[in-house]
Amino acid sequence: MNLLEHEGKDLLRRHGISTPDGRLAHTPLEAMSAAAALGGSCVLKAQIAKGGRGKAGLVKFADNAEHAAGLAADLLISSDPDVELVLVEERLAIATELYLGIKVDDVRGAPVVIASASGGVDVESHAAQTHTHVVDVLHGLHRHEAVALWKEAGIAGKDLQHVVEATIALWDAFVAADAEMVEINPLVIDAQGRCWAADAKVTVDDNALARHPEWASRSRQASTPLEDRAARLGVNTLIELGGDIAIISTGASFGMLLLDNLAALGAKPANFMDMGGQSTPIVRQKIAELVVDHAAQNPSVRAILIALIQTSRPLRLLLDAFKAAFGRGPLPCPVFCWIGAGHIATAQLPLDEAYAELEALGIRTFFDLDEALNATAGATR
Amino acid sequence: MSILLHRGTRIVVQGITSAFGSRQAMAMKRYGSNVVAGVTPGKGGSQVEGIPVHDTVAEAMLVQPIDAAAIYVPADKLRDAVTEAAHAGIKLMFVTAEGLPVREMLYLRALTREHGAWLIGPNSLGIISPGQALMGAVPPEWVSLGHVGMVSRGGTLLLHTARQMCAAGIGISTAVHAGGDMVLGRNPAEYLAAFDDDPQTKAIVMLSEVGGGKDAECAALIPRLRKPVIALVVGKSVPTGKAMGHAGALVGATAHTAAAKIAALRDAGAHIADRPQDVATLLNGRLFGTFDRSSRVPGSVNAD
Repeated sequence: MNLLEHEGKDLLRRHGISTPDGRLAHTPLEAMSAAAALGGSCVLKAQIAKGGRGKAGLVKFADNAEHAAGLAADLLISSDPDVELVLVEERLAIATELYLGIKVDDVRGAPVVIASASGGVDVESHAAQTHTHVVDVLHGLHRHEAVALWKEAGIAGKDLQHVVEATIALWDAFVAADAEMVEINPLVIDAQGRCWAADAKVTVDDNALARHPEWASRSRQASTPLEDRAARLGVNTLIELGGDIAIISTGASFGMLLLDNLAALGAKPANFMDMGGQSTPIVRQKIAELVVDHAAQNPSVRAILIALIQTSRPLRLLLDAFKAAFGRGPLPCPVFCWIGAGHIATAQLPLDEAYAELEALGIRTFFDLDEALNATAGATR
Repeated sequence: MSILLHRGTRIVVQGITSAFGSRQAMAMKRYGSNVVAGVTPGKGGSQVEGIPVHDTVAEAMLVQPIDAAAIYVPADKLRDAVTEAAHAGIKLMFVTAEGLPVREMLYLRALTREHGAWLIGPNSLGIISPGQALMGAVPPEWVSLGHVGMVSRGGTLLLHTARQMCAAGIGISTAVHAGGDMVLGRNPAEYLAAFDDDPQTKAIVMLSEVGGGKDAECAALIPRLRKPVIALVVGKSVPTGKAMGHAGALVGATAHTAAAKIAALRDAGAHIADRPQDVATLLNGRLFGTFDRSSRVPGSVNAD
């Protein structure tokens, strides 16, 4: 989950990194009084969890409080619909702009500190000017390592002391927040030589949100009502895609394979689903009920495809969950089912017997996945 | 041979007394895996279906040497369980739990490497060396013994592809699900290198998906491998900016799209399969001519 800038800055401040004096505004009037309190001249930044706000016109500079009210109105009303909040901040007297970030490198399997003497720009496109230090997590980030990194980036003297302190503080914040990525761009050194986080981008590990109740309530923002309900049931992932074939499936990679294969047939999935391998029978039943009810209420859904692989739990558990969900009344649309079952799943119940019970409910079953996909695609043509 | 898991590999099952853990332990044992002990703190001295249970891994190792740990504890107990196995000197761990915070996995990856251990997973479905041993939930009836090494980032994709290979008469040396998480104990490229060194393996199948830089690492390695690599990447039609079920499967940068990965792997010399059934077709003699595809297990594998 991406934190909003002001949440990210709260985190940085808690760990000792200076941030510009700022206030949040929900309305132009609040922006006006915030600007007045800051002395009139200020910067207004739309609070959305997206990059490239500068280019998108979502960062504006005001000369006085009246001006700030007008710009806040522009941001809140006339631009991106997700903007509900504006951060009104003092303007820094920028002497130098640097870049500082820490992110999990999925190939090295370690956090990497990234430093650059040219901040304020898209660092990915200036890779030659960035310097990196791979952190040994068994020992943490040492001050001398941060010194060496910034010296390599060309920073010296008093500035070096300041950026090293900010780097150590950012490491602490990275660990404390269970972050996958923290980024300060730009890290500003002002005319007096003080160091400031002029921006803050923080991505928190979704798997660690249980440890962070302060952000947990935000985790489902920007999701659809169906995605939201699925998340509350504990579904690993459900993403609506706008097509007409509702999918019930487990396994992330297999789910993506289904999307690819349906797309190749010219069919349009309504959703991606990875139920999660560890979901219990009652959860699976509720997920299936959710999909059936959604299909019943949305004529745009013209078929339901059950396609999943079951090997580590008895097939009977899955079958009873589906029978409960699909046996509540008439099917809302044609339902097609392919189960790749083996190992523990079929130890007590052969697949053909399970299929017979599903066929009795009007569900069409298939032993070949391609046949199931063709039939499903055919039903929506 | 095979990689990592072999005939006779002595296995301890951590978390054996849970319903899930005991079911898995029994299935592994039925297949012929050498499950010598189980561990659940507080249940020492008991038995699960004839397998002696100990309070700690170290206590189990006083009875007999142990080579591998199949770890069936939930994510919130994983850090302790893996640390215990590493401290006890176990060199191969298989971790199935999903939902492990990245911070914990960064630690466990570093710790296991420091101890010279190989951690499969987390969020792994399992590893099977047909005719020899199994850890996890790979259905024995969906694989046969042969000469193709398989490594996958997706468990279900591995099963689906292995099953079609089996139906096409293509055998496997070892099939392993490296795990679906962003940070893994070992990267897919490390499995490729292990297969390249395994005399039984004549060709390697890598199955992957959108997101992350691990496939670029594979692409950099493939030109140096002696054995042919067949690659399948799923997620050609997924939207950007959404994590598709795996924390690691998120298209952010352009280089992380399926199209970019396929292009990089093709440039590296990998043979690209569009669909799982194409993997079998590519392997099935056409590509490798006299390639020795399979030698069936002589009746020893008992599918349940």
